[in-house]
Amino acid sequence: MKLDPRCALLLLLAYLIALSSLTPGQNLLLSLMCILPLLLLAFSPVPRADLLAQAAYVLPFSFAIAAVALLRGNTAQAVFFLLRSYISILTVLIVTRLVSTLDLLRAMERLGAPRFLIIVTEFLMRYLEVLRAEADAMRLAALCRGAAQSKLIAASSLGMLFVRSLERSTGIHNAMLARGFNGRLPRLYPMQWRIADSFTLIVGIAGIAGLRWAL
Amino acid sequence: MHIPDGILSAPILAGFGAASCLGVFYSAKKAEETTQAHRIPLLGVLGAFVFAAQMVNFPVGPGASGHLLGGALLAATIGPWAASITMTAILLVQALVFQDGGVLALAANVFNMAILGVWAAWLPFKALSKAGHPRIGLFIGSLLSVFLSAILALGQVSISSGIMSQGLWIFCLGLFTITGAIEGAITLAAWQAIERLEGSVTDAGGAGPSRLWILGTSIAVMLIGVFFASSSPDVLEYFRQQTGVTSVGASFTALMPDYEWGKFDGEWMRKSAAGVAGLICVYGLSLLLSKLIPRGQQQ
Repeated sequence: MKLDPRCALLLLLAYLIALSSLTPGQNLLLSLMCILPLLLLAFSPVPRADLLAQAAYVLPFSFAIAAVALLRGNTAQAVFFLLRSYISILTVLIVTRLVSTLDLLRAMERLGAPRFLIIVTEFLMRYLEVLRAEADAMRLAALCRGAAQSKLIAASSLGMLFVRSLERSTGIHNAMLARGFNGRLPRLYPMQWRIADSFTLIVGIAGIAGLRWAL
Repeated sequence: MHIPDGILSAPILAGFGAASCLGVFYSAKKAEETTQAHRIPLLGVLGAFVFAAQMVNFPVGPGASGHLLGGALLAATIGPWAASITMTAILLVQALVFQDGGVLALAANVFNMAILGVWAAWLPFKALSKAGHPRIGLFIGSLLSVFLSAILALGQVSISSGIMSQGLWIFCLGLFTITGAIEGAITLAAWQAIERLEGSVTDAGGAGPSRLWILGTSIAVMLIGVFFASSSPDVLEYFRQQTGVTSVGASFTALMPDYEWGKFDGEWMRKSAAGVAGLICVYGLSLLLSKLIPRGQQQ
């Protein structure tokens, strides 16, 4: 059974809010709250080792704050910041691995996020690919012409890359307009909220709130 | 500057979350009203460019690096409302796809970079454009955009964690000034290049003053930054003082070690000279880049 993306997003936000409400010193409670994402990690079809390693990506920022706390002799505070950051990013990683970004954007739109923001975000994601494809094509063409690898040439190519990406993106947009694009991207499979989603949401939020405030 | 989840406290998240929601909803409404349909690809491409540019870090001090924010460039080319939305979209993709900045921390990150960052750049740019000095306006706007966004981000982290000291604050203010000046130089170069390539993309334009004015402003700002930064130990020295850890030997001889130009007497003069030299190098490189980009197009 696959959760509705709205349900997944709401549960993610509820968990992150509960985590952010913890204060330094509540290390035991924080450790208990780590159980939820670890259970999710254990029972989800995700690459566990990869996600655990990827979550460490955020640690340099948190480490800077933890280092200052450590220098002041506040070890518990340092551990708290490191653990809370790590578990937050791990939870986000698990959810974004289980639910696609486009589904999460649709869920945001259905939950009331501005449509214009969602459209621009979807265009941005499409045009990142256009940008990458144009850059690859230009690089291949330059290599075929025997161009040397040089930062100066790369810098001078940036302007051309911008113009080519813009031209291609405009072409894509015009093609979309010709096919009847009216500012809304139609969905092949519209989201459907089921009873199971309501049940999961209620149980999930009760579990998170219970763990956070009842213990 | 992308604050991850798990750092900010609940009151900070709630306060800035409410402010960001209001800001984004209003910006989306205004952007939808003012943005013509044919400019949507431009929003996407510019967003993709700023997204890519934010991935490139440049050194701004010992053990510290900064990256382009892009709020000023977006504001100058597509206007503040669309720029706020495009910047929010960038932050959204970075948080959801690349885990750069937290999902819940978007509340603060969006306010810092997409709202404050864009408007801090737009207001001086607009005011000075009307007075016939768009380039000075863009430079000052870029600097303010980075400086204010970074100060606010640091303030949020400081209030949430309660661990920032006065020494760290002074050090960080110096770094933000340098990052802002670099952002100004890069934004100016990119804006000039885009204007030459696609003259019609910008919302405001016109002939600007002599580049010497921009260079002068940069130098003045750099001197102020150096003055602040030199009055207190930097973050590594601060750590070293606290822990008693001895310095780690450098693996190469730097041209201006410890951000000082040894040819001058007095620490302040040495640091100022090094800062000015660095800024001139960045300005020169940016100017060269702005000239090379159109040339690359002609070829």
